[in-house]
Amino acid sequence: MTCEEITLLLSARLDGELTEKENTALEEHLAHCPECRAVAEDLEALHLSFEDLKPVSAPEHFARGVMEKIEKTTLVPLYRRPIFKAVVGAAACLVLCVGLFRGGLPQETPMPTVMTYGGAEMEPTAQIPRGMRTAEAVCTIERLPEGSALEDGDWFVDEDGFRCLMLSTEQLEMVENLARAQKISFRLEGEIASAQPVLLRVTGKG
Amino acid sequence: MTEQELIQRAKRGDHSAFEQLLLQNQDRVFSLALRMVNHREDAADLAQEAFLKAWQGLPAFQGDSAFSTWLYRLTTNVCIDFLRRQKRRQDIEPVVSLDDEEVSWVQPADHSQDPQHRLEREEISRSVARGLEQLPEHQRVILVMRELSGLSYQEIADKLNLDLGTVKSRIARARLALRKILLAEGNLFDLPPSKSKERGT
Repeated sequence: MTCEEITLLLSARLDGELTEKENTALEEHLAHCPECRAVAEDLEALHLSFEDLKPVSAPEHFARGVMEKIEKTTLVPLYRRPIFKAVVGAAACLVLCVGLFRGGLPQETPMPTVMTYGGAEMEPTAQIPRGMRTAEAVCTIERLPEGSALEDGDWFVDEDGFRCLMLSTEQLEMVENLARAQKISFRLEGEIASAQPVLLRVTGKG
Repeated sequence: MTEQELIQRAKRGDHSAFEQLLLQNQDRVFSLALRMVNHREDAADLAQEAFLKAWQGLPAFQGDSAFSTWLYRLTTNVCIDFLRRQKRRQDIEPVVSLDDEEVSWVQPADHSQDPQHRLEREEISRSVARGLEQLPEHQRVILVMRELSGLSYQEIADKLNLDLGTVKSRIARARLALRKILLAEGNLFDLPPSKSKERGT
C-alpha cells in the first residue's frame, strides 16, 4: 500500500469508519513509515481542532428577525395579505375568462383541483376556509388518526368551530399516511411547499 | 429553565421559549451555515430558514437526538438545498480520482511539539477556520458535514448522492488540502520551539 493510499485510511480512522482489515494494514504501514506517522499526527491535530472552532457571532438582530418572521407567519391571516388578494383576483379573472371561452365548447366534467381520500360526504371547500391563517394549503380530515402524536400541539378553533393545527410538510405526510392506513377521509387543497405550514382542520371529534 | 423545558414549551407554541433556544444556538447555527456556504448574507438567510423550519418541525421533534444535533442537521439540509439551487453541483460533486491534482502528497513537517496541547489546538483552530475558507467548495462542504454537522459517511453519501468510497476519499483529500494550506502558511505544524514553549507555559 502506498503512502498516499494510507492517508485515506488515516482519515477514515479518525471518523471511526475503518474496517478491521484496513486497520491492520494501516498499523503495519505506520510501524515502519515515520512519514505517515507524522501525517497521522497532523491529521489528528486538525480533526481535534474542529472541537475548538469558535462560533462566529450571528449578525446583529438575527434572533429578532427570526422571531418577527415567526410571529408574522403565525398571526397575519393569509387571506389578508395583499399578495394573496392579488392572486385571488387574478385567479378569479382567469376563471371568468376560461368560463366564457368554454361556454361555447361541449360540456366536460371539470377536473377537481383538490386531492381527496375517501369521504364522499365531505363537501369540497368552495372558498378559502375562514380558519385558514398562514397556510398555503389546507388539509381537512374527519378525525385525527391514532398515533399522530399531535394532541399536544398548538390547537385552536377556527370560525367554523373546527379544531385546527398548523403542520409542517413532514407532519402532513405523516398524517396522510396514518389516515390512509386507518381509512380516514381527508381532503387536501392548495399548494404544498416544503417551507410553508399546512393548516389541518379536524371536522369531527377525536 | 432547562433546555428540555424550553423545548416542551416551544412545542406548545410558546414563542419566548423558542426565542431562548434560538439565542442559545444562533451563533453555532450561523457558523455552520457560514462554513457551508462561505458567504455571510447567504449564511444569515439560511440560518434563519433553518430556525423557521425548526419552529415548524418542533412538534415532530421526538428528542431521539440532542436538540442541537437536530438543529445542525436541519441547517445542513437547508445549506445543501441552497447549494443545489445555486447550481453549484458541479463544484460540489466533481469527478474525484486518486490523482487529484489540487492535493498533492505533502512531505510531513518536523514535529517537535505535542499537537494535543490545548493552546496549540486553539491556535490550530483559528488557522483551520481561515483554511476552511480557502478550500474548494466541494471539499469544504463535505468536511464541514463530517466535522461540524457530525454526519456519518453514509449520511453524507445519501445527502450528496455519492457512493461511500467517494465520500471517504473526498474527506481525506479535504483534510490533506487543509493541512497543505496550513503548512504553506507556516501555521502551527512547524512552530519554532521557543514560541511554542512560551505558549505552552
